[in-house]
Amino acid sequence: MTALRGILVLAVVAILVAVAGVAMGDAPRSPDPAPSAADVAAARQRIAAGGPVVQEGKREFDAEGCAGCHAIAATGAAGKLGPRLDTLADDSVQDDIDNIVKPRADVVEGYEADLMPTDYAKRIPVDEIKAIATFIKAASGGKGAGGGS
Amino acid sequence: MSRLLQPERPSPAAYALLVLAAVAVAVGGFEHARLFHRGYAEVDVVGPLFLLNGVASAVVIALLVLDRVALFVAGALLISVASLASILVSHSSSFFGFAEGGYDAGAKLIVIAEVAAVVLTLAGAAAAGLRPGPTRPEATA
Repeated sequence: MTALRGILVLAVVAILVAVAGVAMGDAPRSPDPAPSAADVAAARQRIAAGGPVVQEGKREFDAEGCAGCHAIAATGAAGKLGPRLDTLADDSVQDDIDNIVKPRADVVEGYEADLMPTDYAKRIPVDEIKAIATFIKAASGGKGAGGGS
Repeated sequence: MSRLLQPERPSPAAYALLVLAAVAVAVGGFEHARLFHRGYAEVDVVGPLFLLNGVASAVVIALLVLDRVALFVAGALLISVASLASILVSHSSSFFGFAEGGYDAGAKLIVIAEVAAVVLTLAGAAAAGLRPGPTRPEATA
């Protein structure tokens, strides 16, 4: 009985160490550094001036809980389970759409491949997915980040 | 109610089963706490629930250290069943706005640990003679 009790005490200690975060490692690190303050300010302007499609995309981004896993500094989204989405200036809106509907096709190194749901194309109308991608493009900047109407 | 608070000494076999259940609860709690620090902390509601799972697991196991067997059984089942239900919901629709598309290594470990915790806790409770409902009949003199 004493040995079994010792196992229980060890289990309690191990959990408390984990709760305290000692030697538990960190969240995955995005390969891109966080955007500068100037970039964040510019992204805020693009989002604010982006028209109804960008605004709808932002609403859907929030409603779908994307911010829980992805960071966009301009909106305060601070998720760490997936790569940040405000440093994708080289990606087109179509690239962002593909990343949403086929998240396993191109997984950023260091992130869990199985985490992101694969059913967005079934659950979300195509125009709303395009709006989310347009919003991400506006947040990232680059060619074609105007957002349209 | 008072029975829940009374220390009990089950048979060695029942106690061994309950300790195994506690180890399974510990694995689930440890993994939830670890994942909290590895990115889930930023997820609204779900992140804090991961940490709560770890803390609650430690408290429940401490109850078994203190021989509060009935409280341990109730707590272990509550944590494990709630955890399993939450995982299933987050994979089929969304849980407080959080949806997962598959089972990574951490999720698989948690599912195995929580299922084991439920099975072992029920087995341990049965071996210890615990039954839901009113207190056992008092022995008559």
